Amino acid sequence: MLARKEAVDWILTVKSHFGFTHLTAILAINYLDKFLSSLHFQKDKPWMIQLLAVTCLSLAAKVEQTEVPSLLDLQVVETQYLFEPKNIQKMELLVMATLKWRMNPVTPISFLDHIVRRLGLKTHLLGDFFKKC
Amino acid sequence: MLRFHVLRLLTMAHIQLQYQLIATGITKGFYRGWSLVSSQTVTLKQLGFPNQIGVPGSLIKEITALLQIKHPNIIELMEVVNSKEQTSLMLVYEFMDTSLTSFMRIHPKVMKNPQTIKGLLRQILLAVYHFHSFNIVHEGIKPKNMFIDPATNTLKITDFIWPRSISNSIIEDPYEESTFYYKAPEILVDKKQVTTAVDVWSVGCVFAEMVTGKPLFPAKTEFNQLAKIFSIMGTPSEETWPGISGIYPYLHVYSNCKPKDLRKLVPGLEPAGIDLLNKLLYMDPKKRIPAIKALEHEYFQN
Repeated sequence: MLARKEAVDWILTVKSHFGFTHLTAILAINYLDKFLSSLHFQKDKPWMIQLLAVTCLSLAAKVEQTEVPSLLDLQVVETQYLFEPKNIQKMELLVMATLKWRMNPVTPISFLDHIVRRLGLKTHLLGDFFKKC
Repeated sequence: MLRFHVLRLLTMAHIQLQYQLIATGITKGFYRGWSLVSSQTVTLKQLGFPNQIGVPGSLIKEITALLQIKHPNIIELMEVVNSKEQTSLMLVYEFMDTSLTSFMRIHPKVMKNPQTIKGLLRQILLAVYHFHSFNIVHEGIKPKNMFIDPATNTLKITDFIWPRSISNSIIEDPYEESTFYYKAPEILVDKKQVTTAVDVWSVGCVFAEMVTGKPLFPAKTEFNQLAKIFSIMGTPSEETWPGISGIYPYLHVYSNCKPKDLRKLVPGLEPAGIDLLNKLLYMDPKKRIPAIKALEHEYFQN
């Protein structure tokens, strides 16, 4: 699915632009995939996937980051469409309802944390490792 | 404003065909409803997002956490329903109708029994400890946010969401019980000083109120609340609260009060209870007793 690849690429670009954590991107892609596999997604609207990408990244940033850019700022990087905040807000509500508000899913990072702690690395090494995560 | 709210909620309920509105105005912002799916009475609360700048992050985190929390002393958030146009949310809670405020008014004799108070305080602390373990700070603990089943004296705490996340979307009701009576001194000084300790302070205020039937710090306005607290608990200094002058440069404006004896202000409370109350109402939040430690206090031993 080409559209998904573009959406993921866009999320990763914006993630680096704002210096979000990797977990933010993982969460955003997790939401994206879950929504794409739901019945709510309308494939016939080309702008829909872009709106979904913005929405998922916005939600992930709010769950994971302490500082979150505004909905307009979030769309600074090479977007074909520019969405109004009120429409993104509606999409946020739709995505969260579709995901049944499970905004804190288990991700590979959750396991990494557990495994790395078992390895018994010294604390600063652990910190370095998570910075790279 | 209220009629407008009810109309919107009614339209919403009709669209969803899941909940029917039975009554309004149990407490501000809450409605009583009937679930057509599970055939039970529920409490409904509608949240709108008039600013249209996205759903607040704090709200997302809170709803996510609350849907996971199941505890006998916390009112269950059963479901979150979206309006058809995706403009507002309806929160569906399990239904209870007697708040601690009305319980104290209706059953003053029951409240005279020290064992009843002990039982209620224990349940409050269990609930507070439970959501603190999820890293949730309630910030709005007061008798109106606690509900009691008079048949079993089971107490449940509610209302985590509205006060903080969506505070700009509600209209202040001048007749509402004053929330600032229960506010911890550190947040009166600086709103950013929120930690789990602010809830412990509020629990202390509710504890004293259950014994005497009256609020412990009834200031006339929020502005006077700090002075009221100082007049009873003593004006803090760098010795009693290290770091206070850093977060609150206006301390010298307040007259230097000595702490009063809580035994005289909360008569009828056993010595162990007074000791616990003093620990719950410790001015320095860093030294205030955590909920889990309070549950182990000797007051609960018999």
